[in-house]
Parts: sequence; structure tokens; C-alpha cells
Amino acid sequence: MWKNISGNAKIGLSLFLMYRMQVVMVVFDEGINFLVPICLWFGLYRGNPGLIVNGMNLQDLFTYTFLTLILDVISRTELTWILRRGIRSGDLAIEFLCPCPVPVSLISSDVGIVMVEIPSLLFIVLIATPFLRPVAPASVWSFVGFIFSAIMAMILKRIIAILLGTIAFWTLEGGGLIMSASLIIDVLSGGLLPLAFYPHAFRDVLSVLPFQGLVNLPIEIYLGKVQGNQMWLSLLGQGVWTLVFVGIAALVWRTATKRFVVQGG
Amino acid sequence: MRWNLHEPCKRLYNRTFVQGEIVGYIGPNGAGKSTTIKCLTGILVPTAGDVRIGGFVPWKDRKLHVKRIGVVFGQRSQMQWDLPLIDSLEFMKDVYNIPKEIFKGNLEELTSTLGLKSFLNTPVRQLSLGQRMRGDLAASLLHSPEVLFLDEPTIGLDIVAKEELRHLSDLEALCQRIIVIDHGHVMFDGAIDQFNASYGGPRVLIVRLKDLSPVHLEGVDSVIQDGNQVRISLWSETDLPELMAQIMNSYPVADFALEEPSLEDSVRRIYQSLSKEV
Amino acid sequence: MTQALKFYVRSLNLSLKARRQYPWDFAVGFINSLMKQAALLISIYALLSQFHQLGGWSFPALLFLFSLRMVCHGLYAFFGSPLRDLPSIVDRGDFDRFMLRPVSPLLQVIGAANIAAAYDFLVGVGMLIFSWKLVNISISVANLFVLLLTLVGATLILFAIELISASMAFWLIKTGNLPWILFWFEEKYIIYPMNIYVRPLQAIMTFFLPFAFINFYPAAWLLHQTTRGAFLPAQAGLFVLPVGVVCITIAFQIWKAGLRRYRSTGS
Repeated sequence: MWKNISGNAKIGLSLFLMYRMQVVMVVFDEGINFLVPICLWFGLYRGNPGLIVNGMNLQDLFTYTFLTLILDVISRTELTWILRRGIRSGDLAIEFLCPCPVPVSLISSDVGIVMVEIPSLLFIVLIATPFLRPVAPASVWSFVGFIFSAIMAMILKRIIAILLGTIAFWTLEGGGLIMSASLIIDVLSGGLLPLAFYPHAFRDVLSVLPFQGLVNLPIEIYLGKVQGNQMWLSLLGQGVWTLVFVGIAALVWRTATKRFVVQGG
Repeated sequence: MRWNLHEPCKRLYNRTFVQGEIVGYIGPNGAGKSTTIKCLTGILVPTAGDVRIGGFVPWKDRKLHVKRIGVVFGQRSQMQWDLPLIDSLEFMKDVYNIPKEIFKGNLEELTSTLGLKSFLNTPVRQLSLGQRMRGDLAASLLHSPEVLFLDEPTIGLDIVAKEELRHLSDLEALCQRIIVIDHGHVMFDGAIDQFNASYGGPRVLIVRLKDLSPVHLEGVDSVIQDGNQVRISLWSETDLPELMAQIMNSYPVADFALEEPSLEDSVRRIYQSLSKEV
Repeated sequence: MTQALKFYVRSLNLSLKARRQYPWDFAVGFINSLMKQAALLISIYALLSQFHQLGGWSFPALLFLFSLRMVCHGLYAFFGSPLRDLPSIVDRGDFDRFMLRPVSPLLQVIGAANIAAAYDFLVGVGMLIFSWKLVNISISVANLFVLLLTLVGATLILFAIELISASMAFWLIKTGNLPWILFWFEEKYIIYPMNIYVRPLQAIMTFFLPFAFINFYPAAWLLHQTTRGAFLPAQAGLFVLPVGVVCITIAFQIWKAGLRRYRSTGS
């Protein structure tokens, strides 16, 4: 009997240690994601806390960082690497049993994985919120618009992730390509710096690209920088882009699977 | 797991192995097989106990020790995925610092013995499991190791693939000696025949009759008749020639066949009896 | 020792050969590197134009700062970045195979070259030369010497940080992301002059994860830029190599301890 007790105690202890480690990792991981940008904003606004740059004051920036964090967490996906590994090892054969235009089963299993992000979400709610003290949405409609936009961001992010994963069909060097692409998308979506900071010419180009829908647009809607008709128009644009990308993904998937099946192995 | 020894004097669980022995190591999951192989190969440092292979302690003289052994993992390949097999094999030359001539000779010999020629230039990712296993085997023998460890080498192979590896034969034909363990204790150490005799199920004599006469026998474990096929389970003491003569005298026999207890059977029985004890 | 070197070279060759299987990699990778650097540069330019100053550094100096980081990181990453995958290698159980070969496991892990990093290095060198011309500081022998020492030292520092974070894989089970977290942090934030960050973060980046020594201090010294707000004077930029040596020594001890741990508990 004693053996039983001590055995269970040992299991409990190692679970606790593992759990504690997980907590540390989450804190560290998410912590960097909001602490470092804050250090940057503080540093930049140090001279004048009341400074407004292209409509963004320090409080706006904090909220921006907060919302970036949330959008990042719900858009997180392992699809790129799962797809990539599956293609490289040939395990992806299972996907072809389904006569779908895109790897639907992969996507559906991925959505369930949002549950895994619960520790991160907890962290955001418990620690980041009091720290960052984000402002409330500019209005009820702003909040509604934000929700719509965020949902589309979630979908679009995953479609892009799939597209990046299919690079593995064509090249071995994919790893580096994917990382660079991720960084570029990060910049273009407003994930690195709010797009408000970028020169006008650049912003004009970005406004016709889909990437701002991933981060910058939802947040600007939330903050009330984009309101009323302009907001609905932007949401429509975001929706169109999302559909376009679904189409591109289907096309790419079909071309790739043809080549994949030919390669065999 | 089995290993192939060409070195005198190696003790395991106070066991000793001699040159040229082929030993099979059997144990259920969790019995300690992978821990053992990790200690023997030098990956793991045990908390107590001693291992010597050819005078070397695996975990202390890792680099020296590892040059003299080869290891094949059934579940993981050490080949370069995207490149032709030959590239991975030639890489072994650099890994083990094999002199050019010896390498060439070994490569030729292994290519012919294992039948690698047809797929030497195929990228490893396009090979079948059986082909990959042969490639792994070659890779682990190129440096002329004195001891070869094979960890679950036939796992995942289907019947056809196993045929491909018929050079290796299966455990029963190849291993002279088997060691059966359970949670760190040696349950059996000896020849396979002996193992089957001690722990194995009964031998079964299969008789095909020319007609459907019912068969009654004594001095046997059981008789199961299905039409003109009769399966007779024998006791170990049953005198087979006498029995066969008796049957032939009493019944119209078309032919006989004898089923020996398989190793798998015997192993299953020994572990079943173990779990019953618990 | 020569044996180890020979092995390493052959190992690099092997992985390069694997990549050569895909011929468009070169062009695509190069363009990719350019685009990535362009995206980061635009961000620096954006901040500068909105806030009119970044730590008191001029734009050419910022360019130099940026390219110095690219060069150092590219050089290090070409040789050492496979370390980032160590946690997943250990997770999959593939690390055992390295222990079964008569070569140092560390050498085997880093044996796969990272071509993408080479593009970063080349583009970075180009920009470095270009920005140095813009700054109007003489390219003297002494300066070049300091630059060279910085390169070596920075590579050691980066290697040390990566080695330590990768070694965590031997103690923790699911640490998969630590090397990657640090990598992204470095790529996104070390391109700005460190003195714009608040003091606590600067302290971390100077004394704990000495990223500041990779580009900030050396650039400050070479280009006579201000380090106002930072902890150390620009002269710290001369000490990149000693810092690197200290870091790598510590890192090796941790790696060896990690190996011992792995071998006593066996994954």
C-alpha cells in the first residue's frame, strides 16, 4: 500500500513540475510578446507622454499591443509545419482519401487546437489586462465590427498558413522561406508596428493588400479609427480577400496534389 | 532485440556472452529492454552495475566503444531523407573514419549480400520500409563492428517485406540463444528448443483422413475433429512415432502434418502466466 | 581535432547536397532575404520619420546597426542555427543516434548548414559597406580590426545563447519553443538602437542576454554614435570578443551538464 501512495505522490509531483514548467513557458512566451513592445513604446514616447502620432497616443498603443496579443493567440496554428512535415514524410497520403479541394480534415482538427491556447488566454486575462489597461471599444458597433474582423482574421491566417505549408511540395529550403514570409506578413499586417506609423505611400499600398486584415484593421475598428460606412466597407474588403485566398489555396492544393501523387514514395 | 557478438566475455544480469553468439532478447513493454540496450550501447549511464564489451565500459569509453558496435533501430532510420541511399552510406565513411579500401570492400560485400544494387541511387524517402531496413543494416555494418545490436528490426514489416529480409531469417531460425526478461529479472536463458519445450504449448499433429470416420485416441491432450481433418494436441511425453503408427493402423490416413509450438506462442504463454500470478 | 573538422566539412557538404536537389532555392532564397530585410528597414524608417529620432542615431547609423546585426546573425546562423531544432530532435528520440557515433553529438547537431542564413550574410555585408560610406567615418585598419573582432565575438555570443536555450531540452520536456522565442525576439527588436528601450530591458539585453554587444555597442563605438541612456559607454563595443568567450565557456558547461542529465535519465 505504501508503494501505491508513494508511487502516486511521485506522479503527482512530476505532473506538478511539468505543469509548473508549462506555466513558466507560457508566461515567458506571452510575456515577451507584450513586454518588449511596451518597452519600445515607452522609449519612443519618453519625451512626451501626451504625444499623438498619426492618431495614436500611448494608451492607444497599449491597447494595440493588447489586442495584437489576443489576435495572435486565436490565430495561432501549427498547420504550416504539420503540412510541411506531412508532405516531406509522405504521411499526407491520408488526406487524399477525402475528395475535397482543400485539406478540410486538417483544418477542422486545427480549430479544436484553440483549446490548447487556454493557458495563454488565461495569462492575457489575468496578467496582461491589468498591466496594459486596454481601453474599451469606441462604441458597440466598433465592438461588433471588431468581432467580425477578428473572425475573418482567424480564417485568413490559417489559409495563409496552409499556403505556406504547401511550399514544401516544391522546395526543400522551405523552412527559411516560411520564416521570412512570416516576418514579412508580420510587418505588413501591423503586427510589428501599428500601420499608423508607416509612411502614407506605404500605407496606401497596404490598404489594398489582405494582410492588414490580420491585425491592423480589427484593432483600428475597435479603437474607433475606422467607423461607420468606412468600417463596413473595410469589412467587406476583408471578406472578399478571405474568399480570394480560399480560392487560391484550393487551386494550389489541387496543383500540388497532382505533382505529389506523381512523385510517389 | 537481438545481438550478434564476436567478443568474449560480456556479462548481463550476470550473463556472459561469447564470440559468435546470436542472442535474442525478449521482453514485454516496460520490461527494461530499451534501457538495457541504451546501457549496452553507451547512451545511458546506469546507476549501478557494470558492463564490459571487449574490455570497454560503454558509457565511459563512448567514442572507442561506439566504433566497435553497430546499432539498427527498427523504428528510426539514420539515413538522409532526401538524398540517394548511396550518399548516406558514403557518409558513414566520414562518420567512422573508415579507410577507403576497407570501406569499398565492405560496401561491395554488403551491396551484394543485402541486394541493394537496384535502389542504391534512389532517394531514401522513396524507398519501401524493407528497403530502408536493408539500407540501415548496411549503414551499421560498414565500419566492421564487432557487436551488432538490432532493436525490433522487423517491427512494422508485413509478410512480404519480411520475405525481403529472408537473409536475416527470423528469430527462431537465427538465434541460438534467447533471454527472456521481465522487469529486470531474467526468466529464461537458453536455447529456443528448450524454451519451447519448457514453456511452449503442445505440439499438434494434424491428420487428414481419407474418410470421415470419427477418431478416438488416448494418451493425448485433446482431439479436435472437423470433417476429415483432425487436430491432435500432444503431451510432451507422448511418443509420437508410436501414436502415428497407432493411427495409421486404425484409420485411413491421407497424410500427416506436425505443428511445433512457435516461439511467439511460447512467449505469449509465459507472459500470460506472469500476469495471472500478479 | 582534424578528424572532427573533416567530419564537419563532409557533414556540411551532405546537407548542401540535399538542398541542391531543388535548384530554384538559390534565387528564391535570395529574393526572400531581400524582401525580409526591406520589410524590417521600412519599419526602422517609419519609426524614425514619426518620432524624428531613435536614440539619437542618424539614419545611416541605423542602417549600419541593422546590417551589422544581419551580418553577425547570418554568419552565426549558417553554422549554428540547427541548434534551434534540438528540442524537437530530442522529443522525437532522434538524439540517441548521435550518441551512437564516434563524433561529438554537438558537432552532429550543427552539421546541417543553413543556406538561408548565407543570403542574409551576403546582403548584410553589402548594406554594411554601403551604410559605412554614408556615415562618413573612415574605414581605417583599426576600425576593420574592431569589426572583425566584433564578428567573431558576436558569433560566439549568439552561439552561446542558442546553445544554452537548446540545452534546456535536456531538462524540460516541452520546451520546444525557447530557442525560437529568443530568435524572433532578436530578429524583431535588436535592429533598433538599444538605448530607446526602458532601463530594465536594457539591463537584460546587456548583462543577461548580451544581445546589445552584437550590434549596438560596436556600432556606437565605430560610428561615434551616442549611447546616452544605455548602461555602458561606447567603449563597451571593443569588448565583444571577451564577452563572447565568457559566454561560450558558460554555454559549453551547461551543454555538458545537459548531456550528463540526458544520459542518466535517458529521455
